Amino acid sequence: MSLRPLRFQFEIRYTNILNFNSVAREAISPFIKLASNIVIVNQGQLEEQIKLDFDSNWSLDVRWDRVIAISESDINVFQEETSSLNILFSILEQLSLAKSFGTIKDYLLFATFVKIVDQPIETITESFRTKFLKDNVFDIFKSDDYRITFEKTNDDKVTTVSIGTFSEKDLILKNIYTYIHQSPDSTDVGYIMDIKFYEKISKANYNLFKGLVRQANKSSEILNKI
Amino acid sequence: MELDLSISKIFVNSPTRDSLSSPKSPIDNSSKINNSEVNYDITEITRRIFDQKGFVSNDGWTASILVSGKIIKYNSDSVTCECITSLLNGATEVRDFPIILFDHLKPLSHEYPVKIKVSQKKGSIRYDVVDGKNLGIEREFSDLVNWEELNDFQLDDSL
Repeated sequence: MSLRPLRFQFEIRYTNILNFNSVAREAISPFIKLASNIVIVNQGQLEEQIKLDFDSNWSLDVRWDRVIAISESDINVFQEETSSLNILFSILEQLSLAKSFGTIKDYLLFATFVKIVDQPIETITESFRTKFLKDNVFDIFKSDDYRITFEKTNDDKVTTVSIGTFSEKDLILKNIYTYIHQSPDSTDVGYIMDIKFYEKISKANYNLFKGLVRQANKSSEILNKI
Repeated sequence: MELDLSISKIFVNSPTRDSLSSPKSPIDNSSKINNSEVNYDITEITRRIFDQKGFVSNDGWTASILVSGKIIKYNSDSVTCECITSLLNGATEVRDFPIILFDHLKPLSHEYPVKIKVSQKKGSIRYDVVDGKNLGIEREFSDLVNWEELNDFQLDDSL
């Protein structure tokens, strides 16, 4: 049995920058030398997006209202401040120097973990069902694929944890390409967990991300208790 | 229906849909992310890498470290840099590097900013030195707490 992070998406959102294309190009240009690829979407339009790919298997998408880091690598690789993900915060800082930059609004971390189990999917499904669902619920939703979601909401903070059974279908439906590439004949089955942290904030630095990774890892340990 | 796991099938049949646009609620994306029909941007990215390079990603290199630094000393053989290991803790380390890593930055000058990327894979470590101009490195150094300024600091005066 092994627990592994599958992918993550980390966003920091800010008030819309109406002259984004000029501000962003100036802020991002120096960082292009660190990227392996650049793509500009909606060029010249209000909602222009600048996407940078980095060698360590992650991408940065800079938009008029947010910066987004997405990766199918292990989230723990990026836990240290010296990881290349720090570029997100450097670019955010450069953007914030512009006169037209308003304020940082909130963040979102979405991370997926799986636990591979050496059992048939039928056994896993049955185990999941008996632990989380009552029989009468099962009678209403007869299925071989379950997922339950827990959500905690405070004024400025939303935490969502979603747990379900995992099979190769999830890889296809969610386009987990790297996993498929690394294990093309994978018949892995087990449990999958999506974790989502959202909070309103006014400033952000690497400590924020580090704390969220720690929190996500801690939450993912629930998978080991199923 | 049987699922086709072949790469070409995945690429051809992956409609690109933006799961991140048009915020309507504070966690607008999150609801979409949970929707199993949504295709993630990540696929678009990996596809882009695959299409352009004909192979996937980075030959197994993982850039585990990316540090900001400045040149503090150099000679014909080596360059000494002060590297920021933690901006949050104000920690720096002084490291020597072979001069060949800095060949593209000649003529070298004191205080010149650089980014040093250390990538690794099984059996190999690779160093890349990137021109650090306009990357905000000077500001990072000026933001560091200068502990030496606190030498001889005394709390003798009553508050």
